[in-house]
Amino acid sequence: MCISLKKRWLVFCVAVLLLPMQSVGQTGTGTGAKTRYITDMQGRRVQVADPLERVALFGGPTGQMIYVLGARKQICAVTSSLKGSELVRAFDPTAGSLPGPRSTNGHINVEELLLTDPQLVIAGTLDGSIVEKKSRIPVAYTESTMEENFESLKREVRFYADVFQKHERGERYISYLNRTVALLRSRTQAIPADKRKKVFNGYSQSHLVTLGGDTFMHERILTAGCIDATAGISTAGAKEGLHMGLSELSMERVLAWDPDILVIDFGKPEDLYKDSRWKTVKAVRNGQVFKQPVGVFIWDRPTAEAAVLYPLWLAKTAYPEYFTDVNLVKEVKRFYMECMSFDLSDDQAHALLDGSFGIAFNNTPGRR
Amino acid sequence: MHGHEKGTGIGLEQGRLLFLLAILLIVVATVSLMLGQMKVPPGQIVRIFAAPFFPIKRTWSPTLESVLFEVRLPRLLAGMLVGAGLSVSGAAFQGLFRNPLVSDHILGVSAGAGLGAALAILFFGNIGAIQGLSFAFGLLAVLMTYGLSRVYRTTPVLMLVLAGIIVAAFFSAGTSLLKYIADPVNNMPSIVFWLLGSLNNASNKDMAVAGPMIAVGVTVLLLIRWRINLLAMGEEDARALGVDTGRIRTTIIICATLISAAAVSISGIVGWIGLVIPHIGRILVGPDNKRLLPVVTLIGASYLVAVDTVARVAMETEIPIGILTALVGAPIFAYLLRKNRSGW
Repeated sequence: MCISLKKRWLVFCVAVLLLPMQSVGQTGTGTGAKTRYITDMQGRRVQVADPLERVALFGGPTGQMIYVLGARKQICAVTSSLKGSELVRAFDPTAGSLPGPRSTNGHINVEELLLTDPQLVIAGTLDGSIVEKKSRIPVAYTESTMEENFESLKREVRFYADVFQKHERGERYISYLNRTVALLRSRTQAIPADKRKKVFNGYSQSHLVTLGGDTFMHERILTAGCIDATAGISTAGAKEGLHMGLSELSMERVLAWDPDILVIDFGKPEDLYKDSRWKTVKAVRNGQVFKQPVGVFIWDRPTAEAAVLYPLWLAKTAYPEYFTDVNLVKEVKRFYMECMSFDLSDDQAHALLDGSFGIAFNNTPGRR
Repeated sequence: MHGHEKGTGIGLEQGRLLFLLAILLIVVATVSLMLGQMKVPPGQIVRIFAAPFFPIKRTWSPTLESVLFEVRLPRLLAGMLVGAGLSVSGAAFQGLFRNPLVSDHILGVSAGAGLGAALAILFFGNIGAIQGLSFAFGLLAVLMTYGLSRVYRTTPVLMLVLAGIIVAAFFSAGTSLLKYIADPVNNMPSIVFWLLGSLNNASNKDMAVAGPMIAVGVTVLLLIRWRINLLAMGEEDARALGVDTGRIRTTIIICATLISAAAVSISGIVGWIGLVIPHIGRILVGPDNKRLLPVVTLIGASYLVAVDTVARVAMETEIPIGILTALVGAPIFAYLLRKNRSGW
């Protein structure tokens, strides 16, 4: 009698001790679910459900990773701009109805996010800290830096591939990138220094806002065999509004550089051909002003598509004689088919290269 | 008014002071033309400017000519006109409202212009539309303010201020909403950069349209400057003297609005000038608008040219001028407020 009472007491004590542990396990990973650890881009180990079926993906440029990896079905929420991309809408009509609880950096509707019941949120520092503060959803941090290069992009792809368990697709993209970069470097290395074209990316309505030589853009311009006009300018740390890596330069600096090629993202090249302020610039005199192409995202951001296609587009545009066998429309179609399973028509490929694809945002039409 | 009959606050005659300020403007303008991201020897610059008038052999590149005639010169003119315009309209508004803390943006012109520009960036995407819409919305905002203030006939000046706050709040909220829904990839940076203000875009073409508007506004305000003094007596006293205060007020509002809207359409939103410069002017010559306005015109022009020169030369990238004028203006204003209790 006495013993059994002791035993019961012991069982009760053990049960009381174990109860909270079990409930912690439940809220953390779901009933009896398997978990695994991933290492995020900032080196933190994060425990996540295995398999991951409901991931919220924030951060504009990285949104397309779900198509690169074929992981669209594992996504429960995205950033609004991905939903607005005309290209995405054309090939993934259901993307438009995905919840978009994050609009721009720092703007997250946590309630809407919770409704989507994500197992993991992948986000930059600011967005991620907001999610961590207001919910119990595990957060894997990406590295939001403008100083990216091909190597850090590959690390990013491999990180996402690990999250979604799509290693094969990740490596497929990386080898596509490697092949393209190798082709461009081998073709352009023969170009003598005095024949190399100087490129200036002039964004915004002034055509004077640009990405400096310390941003990802520098490597891309060099890969195309061109000279980066902004090589000596640092803008990676610049933050205007919610935008990183962009700074405005003065007009006369651009006139002094006298770039051979000018890439704009606002208005039409014809506007510059008529503008007396730009008339002495080589790019304007020779009709070498081009509108930045827009795919899933505009190609002046550190995205997977732009890493492959921007240097290719620039190289072909700058040195057509070295790339007579390269047909940009075909290359664009091939890339999106092989890497994202988007089967573009010729018209769509042309529209993309003309920069006439837009990004509708919160149902307002895109400007282009 | 406060015993300054002839002399100025610093013991200079008005005429001599104006002369000195004109010299200052010329010096600042010359220095500004010499400086820039492109290093050009001053002698070369003098030769390029003299070339159209004297037989000088053109040894320089067309780019250099372009830098001077298409970039530095229009920017200098824009700086002078915007600086003078905003300062004079600020001083005129302060006379109108009989309050030295009123700025030229009090009737909502900059808030309206900001929304107009954001709309143009979002839906049209060309510079003409940005300038046109910012100008139109600046005017619209002031018209709304004016219309709203006339609902009650009792205290129009106070109502103008309140209506201005209401209208400005409404238009600013519209701009914030557009920034929120704008595509963050392309449109948003454009809106943000525009709102920060810059003379980087000033071209000869812009000056041809906005320049005369500002010049006319400034001239009219200078011509009626002695009438602004009458408003300082108070509405009833002025009316008792047979002065039509309503007409003076309308003229001031039209001119100041025209100036501010035109200024904003070429330079984006440049704050603090209309507040700081009239204050400096008042320390120099006292509160009499007859003397104040010409002084303010010259100081305003020199000030903005000087600040803009810093904006384009100090760093390898442009410093948005709206940031600089606030950064420089606010401490100057605080210092002046504490140091000098100039008459008003």
